[in-house]
Amino acid sequence: MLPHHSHDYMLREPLAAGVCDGATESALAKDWARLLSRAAAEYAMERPDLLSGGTAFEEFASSAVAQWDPWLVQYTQARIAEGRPLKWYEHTKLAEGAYATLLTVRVDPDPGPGSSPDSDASEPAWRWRAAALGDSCLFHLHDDRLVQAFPVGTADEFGTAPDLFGSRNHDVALLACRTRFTEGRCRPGDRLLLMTDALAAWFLSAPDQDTAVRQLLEFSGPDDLGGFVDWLNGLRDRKELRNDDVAVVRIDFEGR
Amino acid sequence: MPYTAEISRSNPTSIIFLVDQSTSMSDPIGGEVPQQKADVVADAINRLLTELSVKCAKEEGVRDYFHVAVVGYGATVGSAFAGSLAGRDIVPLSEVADNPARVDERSKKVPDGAGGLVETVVNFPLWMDPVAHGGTPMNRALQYAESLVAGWTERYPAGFPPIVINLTDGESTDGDPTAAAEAITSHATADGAALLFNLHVSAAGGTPTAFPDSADGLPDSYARTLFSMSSPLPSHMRSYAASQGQRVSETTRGFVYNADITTVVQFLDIGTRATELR
Repeated sequence: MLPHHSHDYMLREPLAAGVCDGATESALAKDWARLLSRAAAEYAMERPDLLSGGTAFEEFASSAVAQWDPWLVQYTQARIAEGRPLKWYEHTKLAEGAYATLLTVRVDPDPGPGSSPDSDASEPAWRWRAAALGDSCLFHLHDDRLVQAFPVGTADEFGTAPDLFGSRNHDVALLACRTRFTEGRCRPGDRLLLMTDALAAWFLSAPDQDTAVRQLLEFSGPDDLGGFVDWLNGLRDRKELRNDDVAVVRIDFEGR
Repeated sequence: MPYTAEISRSNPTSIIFLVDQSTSMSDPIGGEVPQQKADVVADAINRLLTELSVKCAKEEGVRDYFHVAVVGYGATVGSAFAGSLAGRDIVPLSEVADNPARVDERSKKVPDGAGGLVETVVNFPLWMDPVAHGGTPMNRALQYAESLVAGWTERYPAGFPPIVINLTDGESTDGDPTAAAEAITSHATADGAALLFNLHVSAAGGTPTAFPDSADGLPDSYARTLFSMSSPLPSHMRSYAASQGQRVSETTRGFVYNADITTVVQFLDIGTRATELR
């Protein structure tokens, strides 16, 4: 999430956030996911047209992939220095690359009230743009009701083989082609929720979406990680949530 | 729905490899480059264990999603592991990965990331060596596997059921193996019956075949017997096989004739797959 500023500062500035989910089957997927989400957020802050696809996205993809091998060299050297050189299976696995989904969103405050033809002249608004490869999801809530799910619309679309951003994939045209792009507009009271696939699948399959939204908002706040973990473990124990890592980014639009 | 149990470290499954080590395995297998059947089978086991280890490898080590046995049958029936695992039956995969008998280096062509191939040296770990000595006590081997399967299903009654993979030239010398095979698949967890897959290596020639749905076209009675002993592929494995370009139907079985069986470990779900965009 960028920039690293207080909420007050962010009220009138653009912000970028992302979720990248490493593939279970790949090694160092967590590190690749971290590198990729940071690269995407930094690029989105500098080049908002990244979120429209095309050349800007290809340039971002190229720069992200270019960061992997130097990072891996450093990692390998650090492991040797720690007396834990890479094992044979890590060499084999890392030659295949690391894999993660990509979801990035950039939010821009409208320059002033009424600047957009479809916004109420009396209240502020924000424009958001998003890019997604794979099944990490963005949900736009208005009055705590779901108005847009991106890029996956229904729970049965989740599987074990989503599109993934490979750390060694130099085919940036293909990466850009498979990435989906969308945008929307938020007003005070709206929320954007970014989440990894297991929780997104739970949300989309909830029999009562109002209750699901209430639970999400109750447990996805910034101050009670223990409560969030307990809630997730309860869902897992009841087989309502797939046993998988969970990440959530929540952006509440409260006015300015 | 069967065969949907999670495979995880707290809920692992087991894979039991049976390896024919009889004298007839010193015969050559057909094909462009003649090879001894025993070499083909040992190579397949070593590659299967490599695939499994790499599939479950993370930076903190190999995760124990699977526990593995390699049982040889020829002059004797028992563990076929060489090196420090010699004599062991079911071994957690992390121990398998960390204890190959030795690691050879072989050259291999790998994608260069830009549509081409580049030659590189890869590690090729070995856990077993080719052996060709004695009869083909396939019944005893299947019974040995059955005892391992029985113990496993009792230990993990809700887990993904054990998978037995039998690699052989098909000529059992201690009677028709059909009943012993049925005994294996009569054991079940709540998630389904144990699975038995067969790899037939043969000098009889004919078209290499992977995951057929009938015995039509198989070249001899050994192949047909092994086909009939093989479990149908569970639906998620069929779907994955289809996505990898294999021709499959609802009656497709886990049987391979003179073809690569290392794909079967790719059918096993342990979470999000790591595959390049296509």
